[in-house]
Amino acid sequence: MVVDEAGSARAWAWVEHLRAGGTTPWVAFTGSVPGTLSSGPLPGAAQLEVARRLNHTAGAPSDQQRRLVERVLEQGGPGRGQPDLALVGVDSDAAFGAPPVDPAQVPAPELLRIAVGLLADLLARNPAPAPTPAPRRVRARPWHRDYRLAGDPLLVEVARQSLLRAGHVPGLRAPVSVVLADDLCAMLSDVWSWRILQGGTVRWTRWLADWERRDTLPPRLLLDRIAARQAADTGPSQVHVAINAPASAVASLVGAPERSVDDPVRLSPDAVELVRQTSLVLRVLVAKEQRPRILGTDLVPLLADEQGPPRAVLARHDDWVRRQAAGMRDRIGDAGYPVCGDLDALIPPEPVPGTRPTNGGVLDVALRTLLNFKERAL
Amino acid sequence: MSPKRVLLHVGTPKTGTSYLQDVLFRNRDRLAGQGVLYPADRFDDHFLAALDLMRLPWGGLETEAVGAWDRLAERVRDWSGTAIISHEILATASRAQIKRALASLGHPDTEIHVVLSTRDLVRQVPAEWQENVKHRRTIRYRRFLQQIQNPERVDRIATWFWGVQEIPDILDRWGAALDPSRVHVVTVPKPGAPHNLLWERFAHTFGLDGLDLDLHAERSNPSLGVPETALIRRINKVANAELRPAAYRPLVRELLAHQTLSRRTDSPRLGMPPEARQWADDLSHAWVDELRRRGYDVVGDLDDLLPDPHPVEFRDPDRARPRAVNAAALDAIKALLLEGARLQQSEEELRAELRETQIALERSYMRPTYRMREKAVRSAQEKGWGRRLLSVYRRARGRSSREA
Repeated sequence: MVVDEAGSARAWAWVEHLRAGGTTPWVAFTGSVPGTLSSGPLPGAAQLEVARRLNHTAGAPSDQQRRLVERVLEQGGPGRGQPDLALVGVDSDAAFGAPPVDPAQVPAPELLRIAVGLLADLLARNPAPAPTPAPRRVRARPWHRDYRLAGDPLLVEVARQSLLRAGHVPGLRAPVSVVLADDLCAMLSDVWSWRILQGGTVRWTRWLADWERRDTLPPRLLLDRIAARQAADTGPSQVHVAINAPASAVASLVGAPERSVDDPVRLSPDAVELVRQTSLVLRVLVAKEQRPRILGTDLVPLLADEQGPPRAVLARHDDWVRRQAAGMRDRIGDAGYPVCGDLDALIPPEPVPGTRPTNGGVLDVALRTLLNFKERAL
Repeated sequence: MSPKRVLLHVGTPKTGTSYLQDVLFRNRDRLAGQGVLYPADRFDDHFLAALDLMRLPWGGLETEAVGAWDRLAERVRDWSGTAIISHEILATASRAQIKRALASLGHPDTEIHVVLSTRDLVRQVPAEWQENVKHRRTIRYRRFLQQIQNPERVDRIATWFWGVQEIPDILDRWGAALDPSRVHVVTVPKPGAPHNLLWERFAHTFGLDGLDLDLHAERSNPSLGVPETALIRRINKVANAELRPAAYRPLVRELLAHQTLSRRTDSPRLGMPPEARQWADDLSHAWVDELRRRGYDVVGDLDDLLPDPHPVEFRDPDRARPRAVNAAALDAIKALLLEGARLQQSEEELRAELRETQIALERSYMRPTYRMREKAVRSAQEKGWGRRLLSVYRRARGRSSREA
């Protein structure tokens, strides 16, 4: 093998530069390591570029940052993707293997693969400390109303958790059911995101296409049937359908003080996609029963600042979604349940709201999440 | 030579690996009695270990692979004699994964040998396309050839192909930390060679010469002809969106491809189109020159890796003869009908068992006290106050249960 010693010395100097928190791109780097060359192969170009971008995002160097960079440089990418790419301008022996590259030109999906692999590895090997003893269970007040929440799983979870935090557990008075809803595009995004946060890995496009092929909605979104089931239990007059309703209105419906229910916040599509891709790697790292805990307890809290609109429904599903939403609106209207909000709001507005994730966007979230993790466990 | 050594067979696909692994698996007890460990409790243990090592998703199978590499490595470390690990997808492991693998097997204190079985590129290229098709891909052959010939190698298909087929690069990665004398290149003989020659080369490499082994194969990865591969590709196109990987594997890959269509051995075989031959020839010569220079232990002849100068006539699988594809499709329909009938029979038997179980269960519910309680609950559920009472009762019962 013909080795370009000057190029190799420059490359090892760049590795040291990155270990020390440096952010200079490879093509602009002019340093060199005097003396003998380091033994062993250089880290791959994708790993080096991820390390550089982490330093860039992190700002000031630190011991934790150095440890994180070290982990990146040792990381093999999970799944299918490019092999360890050589740095352009180092080895002249390029007769075999993938062509050398400028790390800045490595495609975002490859950088993302390295970042996601490391994130999954760190999550699997550094479980969050055991939670502090659970707060004492709030006792039911018999004079409070019993309440049931159903519908959009994101809205239900936010409402349920905030009511419990406010000490408003279901009481013993006659029950009321609240079916929480939004426009159907947002609800589809919420159900899919919910599934991803529970450890699912199905792609949004495939998931949506499957439901359209079956010409039905996911069970959690068959709101007229859910309402009918609740009505059988509580009576139709006690089933309220709350569409895009303010949190205070939801609180009033269940007989709680107005501020007992928080406004819902959604993870951005980029963040949900990061969770999905991390889950794909976790499938081979940890047992199935551990995955929801790792995602819920360890990963999602690191994404607290990654909020955004729902995932956009693709235009090719538009007609089907509108038809489903119109059918749902008509059936709920015919059943005569009290409605909080406007039944027409079940039908998505024009143009359809929401955004799509991008590789660059997911990579940025992954880098920020790795830095957040570093603060906690490295 | 130390008494303990590890033989790590890392590829390449389509070089008789399934046959070798089948023989090793079925003879594992006999081998253990003769000091050779093939650490596997199920046939695909080494495949799962490779998925784990490389964090590789594989249509859901990866969930069965959690911790598989470490378990495999532990068994190897605990063995005092020769141990063999074999799976062809290990060829695509990255340097970091290889470093982890070798360290987990005891490197550098343990004597580790890497074995790579190899076959000429003109046979490997169409075989890899066929493997892609048998793994749900719908890419046409010409497009596949374009992708793997692109020097940038950016597509997933090209990345995988070169990862498992570029012999000098695979050996660069796997052999970097080993003495060349511990890197063994086994060549697949040219067409027309004696049937057992490849096995003899494997047996020599793995130190199995003279051992009493049952060489009858139960598993293999048989090849398909041109119309059969074209048929599977078309099935993928129409069925992929609705057929889950867990159903695809037994029905398409196993039942149709391996058990049915591979028996149509009179069909024309896949080959390389004339315009790609020169590219494959040049590359093969460059590889052989490089391997000679590196001084690895070669079992067989590096000339086996040079394409046959008198290739058979090329038949384009992208334009397979409709009559031949139809004939293959009839065989496929017949196989699916027979499988459907078998499953129907099995379902009827299960239904009968279920009916018997239900009757037995109903008998146990015939006691008068159970029927009285059931009637009371049904009556309460029809009234508002009754539903609330039940709700209170159920909550009280829930609390009592938890406290108990």
